Amino acid sequence: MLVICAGAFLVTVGCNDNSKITVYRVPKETKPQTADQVSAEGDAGAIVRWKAPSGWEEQLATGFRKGSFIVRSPDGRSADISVVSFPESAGGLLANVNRWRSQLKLAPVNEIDRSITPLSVDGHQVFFVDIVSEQPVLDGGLKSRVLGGILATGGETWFFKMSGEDKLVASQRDVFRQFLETLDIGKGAATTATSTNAPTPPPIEAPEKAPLQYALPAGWQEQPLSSMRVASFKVSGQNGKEADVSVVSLPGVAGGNLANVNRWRDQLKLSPIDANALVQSAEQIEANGHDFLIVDLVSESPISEQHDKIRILAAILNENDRSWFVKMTGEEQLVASQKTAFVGFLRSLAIP
Amino acid sequence: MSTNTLAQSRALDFFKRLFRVLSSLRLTVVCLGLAMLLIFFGTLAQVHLGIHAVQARYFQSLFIFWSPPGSDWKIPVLPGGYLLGTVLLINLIAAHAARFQFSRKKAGIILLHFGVILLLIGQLLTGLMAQESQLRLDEGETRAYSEAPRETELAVIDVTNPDYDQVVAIPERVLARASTIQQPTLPFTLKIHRFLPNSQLVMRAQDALASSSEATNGVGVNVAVSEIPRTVKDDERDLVSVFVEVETMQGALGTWLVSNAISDPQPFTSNGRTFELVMRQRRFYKQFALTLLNFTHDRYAGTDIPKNFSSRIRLIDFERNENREVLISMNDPLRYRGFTFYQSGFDNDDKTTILQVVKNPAMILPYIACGLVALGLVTQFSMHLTGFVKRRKT
Amino acid sequence: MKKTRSLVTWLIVAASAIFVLAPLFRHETESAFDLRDFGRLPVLLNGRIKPLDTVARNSLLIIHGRQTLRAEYGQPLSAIGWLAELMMKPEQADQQKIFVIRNPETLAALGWNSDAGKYFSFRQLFLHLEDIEQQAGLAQKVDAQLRSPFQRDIIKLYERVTLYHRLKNSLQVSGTEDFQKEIEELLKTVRPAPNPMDSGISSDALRRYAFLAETGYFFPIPPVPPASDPHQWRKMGESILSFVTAGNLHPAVQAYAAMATAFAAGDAGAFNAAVANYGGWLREHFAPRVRKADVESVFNSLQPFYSAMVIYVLVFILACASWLVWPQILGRHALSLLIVAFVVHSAGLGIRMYLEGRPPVTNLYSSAVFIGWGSVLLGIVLERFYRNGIGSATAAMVGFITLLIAHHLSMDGDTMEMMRAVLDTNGWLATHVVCVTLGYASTFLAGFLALTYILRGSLTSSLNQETARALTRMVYGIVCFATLFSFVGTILGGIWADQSWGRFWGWDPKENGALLIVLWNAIILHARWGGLVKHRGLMVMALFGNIVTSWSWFGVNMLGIGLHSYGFMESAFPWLIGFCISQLALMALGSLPPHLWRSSVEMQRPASARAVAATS
Repeated sequence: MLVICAGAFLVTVGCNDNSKITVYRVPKETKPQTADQVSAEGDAGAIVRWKAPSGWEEQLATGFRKGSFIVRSPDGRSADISVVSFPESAGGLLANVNRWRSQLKLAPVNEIDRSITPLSVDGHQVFFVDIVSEQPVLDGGLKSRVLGGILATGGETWFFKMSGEDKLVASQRDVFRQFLETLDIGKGAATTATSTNAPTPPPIEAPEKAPLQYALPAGWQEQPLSSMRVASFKVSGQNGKEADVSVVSLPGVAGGNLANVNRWRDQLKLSPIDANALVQSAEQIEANGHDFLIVDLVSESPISEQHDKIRILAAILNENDRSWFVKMTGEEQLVASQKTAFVGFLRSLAIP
Repeated sequence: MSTNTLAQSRALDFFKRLFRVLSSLRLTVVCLGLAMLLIFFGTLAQVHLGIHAVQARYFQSLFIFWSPPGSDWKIPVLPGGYLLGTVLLINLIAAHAARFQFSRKKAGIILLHFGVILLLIGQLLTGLMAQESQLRLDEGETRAYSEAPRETELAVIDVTNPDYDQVVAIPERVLARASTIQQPTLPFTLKIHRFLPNSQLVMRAQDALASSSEATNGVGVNVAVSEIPRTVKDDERDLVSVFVEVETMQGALGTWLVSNAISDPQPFTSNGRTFELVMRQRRFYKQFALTLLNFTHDRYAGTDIPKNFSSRIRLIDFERNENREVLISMNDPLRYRGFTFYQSGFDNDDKTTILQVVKNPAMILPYIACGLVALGLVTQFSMHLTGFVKRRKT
Repeated sequence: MKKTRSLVTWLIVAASAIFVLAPLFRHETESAFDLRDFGRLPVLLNGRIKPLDTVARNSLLIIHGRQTLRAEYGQPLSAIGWLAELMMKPEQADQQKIFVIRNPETLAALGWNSDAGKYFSFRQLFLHLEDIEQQAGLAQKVDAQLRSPFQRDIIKLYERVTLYHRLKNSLQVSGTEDFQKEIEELLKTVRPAPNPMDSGISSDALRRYAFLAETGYFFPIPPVPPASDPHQWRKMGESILSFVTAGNLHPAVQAYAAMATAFAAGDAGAFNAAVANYGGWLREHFAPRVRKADVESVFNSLQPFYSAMVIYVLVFILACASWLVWPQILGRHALSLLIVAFVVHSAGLGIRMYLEGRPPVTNLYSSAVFIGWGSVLLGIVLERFYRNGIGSATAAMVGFITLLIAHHLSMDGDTMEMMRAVLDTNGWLATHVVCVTLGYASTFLAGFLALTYILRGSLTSSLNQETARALTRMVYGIVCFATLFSFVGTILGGIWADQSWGRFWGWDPKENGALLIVLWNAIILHARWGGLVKHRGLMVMALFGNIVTSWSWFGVNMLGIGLHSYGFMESAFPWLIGFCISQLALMALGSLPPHLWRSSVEMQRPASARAVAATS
């Protein structure tokens, strides 16, 4: 009896039939779920997601790589695309561009030149880089080109890089740029790469970056951005004196204006003041539709290494649950001479 | 009359001999030996074929065929899992029928072998009737269907009615074999021009050498397709592509490229009705829906080693008026209406859960079988052991 | 007479106890620094809280291939001594020639020829770091199974150098001169602020601590009491940065800083005081953790499995000798020594279970230990019944071999690793895995009993009919036992799989391997019951069981596929092949015609055996 049963099972095709056309009715899908073909998977530290353009073959991401692709041309050339993220200390924009330049046997540059284009992506600034070697550096006497994207977010710096033979990479320029422009940059909290599961606050709080637009005053030089600074400048005066300008944006009131002013006063070895004194000493400026509080502080004695008096000229803005600090620090005379430029800078500043 | 009895006795003789062979221990040993060979080679073959192909070819088959290189012959070299299982089953039953006599001494052996019989039947039934699929849910998403991860279907969806979609699902196997597909509910015929079991799609703009496309409509016009070998890796899947021409009574509407790599449905109209073409994972619709409320993923401190995954799910069944929350975690599945949902994986930065969905009517058999076998073995060997100890003592 | 003999027995037991426990009383005499207590400080690594001593031993094992540094590589050091130097006096550690490079291609790729020797210090490698990184990067793009020996070697070297670098930057940024002073300065100058740039800390320091947080290998800073969640252990850099942003410097940071400064300055008194101080603080707040770490460091220094191995060798020699002279006396001493070794082996197993909080088998390493344990247990039982030295000799042989295998498996680092989510169920680990492993153990034991039978029967004339009959019964009994455990274990595995991912049987290589053992044991039993094989046939079949089991235990892992794979063990592959060939050769030896054997064992079948065959 059992034998017959067993035999019968062998001939009957079970209910799991995969060779019949079926017809059925289903309710309409409310939201079409088109899952990304490629996304950052598994890794808890990853808060940036991307969609690989068609034609990019996904490779196994190894080592530091968060993503890895390859593009092949019909004649067998290929270009490598890597996505790498580094915690915090990745060295700033220029240092990294120069690192790529050195790979192409190019001399380092000191300032942001035409090869670097800032893009606004998903509310963040991504620097698009396009550099090509001057000499043939590849086997077979071919030039090499690097397309790059640099994004600082959530306490991490992300590098997107395509490198390979000049012509092939050049043909991918628009594709790569579009790839950068369609990045999905999560608003996740910063995480350090190693202890992704740690529930504690990350060691360094990273501000949310937004592209900042402004007119650069004469004599100001743009500086590489750090995680803290949305913008950073250097002003050089006579005798090698320098002043540093930083634009920092923090969520909330960031400790309150009085606390911040007193912290700066402390840096200048000045005694703290109370709220009344702050209201009296500070002035209000209306610039580009925002009300800035301007503080101008000078140390009483020379405190810098060069025995100069130090002046802090700062503007504070509390708006939409964020605080903005524009701060110039440097030798007293130099900073005093830059006050007009400073106010001009504030007027040109487009706070997002 | 006498010749008749002679023939009868001959036939009887033959059956007796056949029965003796079928019930012999020798056959048992041979079958078990062949099973070992089958399993050994089946394991080795997984390196090149992948586990799924091996399951079908070695364990869920009657014979293993070997083709000498460069020829089309198919030489059976080993009996497959189904054949061996069936022969063993017959052997076991015949042996017990032949020598069955109940005694306390043999109780263990009988229990044990009855358990093995159940186990074999259970596996046979599972192989034939079980349905495995996957359910991928993003947080907040609701789905009433699961998908077969390794099967593809071409869905022709009539979206004209604002209340529901009417789906005609054509499995991959039909696409591979048929050249034209006619279906009574469809006002047109589908002509299959080219079927690629695994393929690679490149935007035409990036591949200067690509030949002109066969597709005349839809995204396929701008895409170059090339066939690549089917994957053997467990973590990859084939991208099936098909060029399909839609032909109505009035003439051809055009040719579309449909592929797993193209996830957006491609619409067209025919006879005033709107249809969509999409190649997708084969879907199994259920009478109930699941919503992922949230997914949690614990890791060991200071590492990326996963410790536990769990999905908080809302189960909604209008037919049975159920609407409740359930927690599915590793080693703790949800069983509902004949389906079992297991926590299988996660994706997308811990925002997506992957559930394994299994429907196996024969699920209970192995459990009974295991109990019987274990009981039988323990009885038998403890009888041996006590006998042995007694003999040593005297 | 009897009394003197039992006195000898006790003497043997006492002597071996002294041998086993001796390492406890061996003090680190190499320096005035209290490295033993330093080694007991608990830290978190790979999800488990363990003493620094374990971190040191495992890291040195990975980097250097040994648990101690011998004089020929520089200065002789214990593992913890080396780690202390590496973390707190790196300029000295960098000169120890601890990197062993044997592959000539690797040497050539780094620009050395074979005259340079095989031992290199970090300082020597430092100049070639970029080459190593580049070569390893190239090699990593190749699929693991397809890599050439050079590629595997260079990747391994890269991993070793990386581990070295991370260890070096775990307590302080390597090159820090006075960590204690640095921390004190920090306490004085930094005003914790949510934005670290405002805290007054220099951006250089900030970068250093971020680097420390990123690079550090383990988590030395415990949670702030009363919290004890393992997720709140911190790396040194993380802890310092959280002070900069949130205040409250963790006392452990200062403690480690004091140790580092004292060690670098060679001030043993201050170092010991700092260690004792911190130890006291830990004891006060994390008593259970500290106790476990203490037990583990004692366990490390005792190395019970090593002691057991040595005794197993002795047992084997004694038992073999008993077949030639004084069978009674030598046989008995062999058994009592075997029991001592078994107790040591069990103690090691028990401590591991306590430390892990897990059933005995959790990974390949522990399966080796447990197979040895199970075989020895069965061997002792057999010896108690038969008293012919065979149980002792065979058990000692299997015990020794499995522990040797375990030793080689431990080269990959920590043997007490965390269980991945699917496996994280003590219930199944305790039933399925233990049953299957006992199945392995008994199949191996049957195989090695058969090996004894064939070797003694074919090469010596010492196998008399009585012993031969006893061996047949032993093998038969053990095969029954093996069938029971492997069958039940395999089926339990199926049920586990059904519970966990809804598939009773998935034809996964490891499952198939276990099934092969069940089938082979079933074949042996059926062949015996059907009268298809007699004594020597049974032995030859049992020997083949060794091949089946070693395939299932190791072979399937070498396929590099499947859910159960533990990793690709390229180096073990030739050994496995060699073992299988040797077993085949022995099977051939066993199948020789009886007149070519030196012992005459081919006898009339005893009536009882016939009866067994008939009833079954």
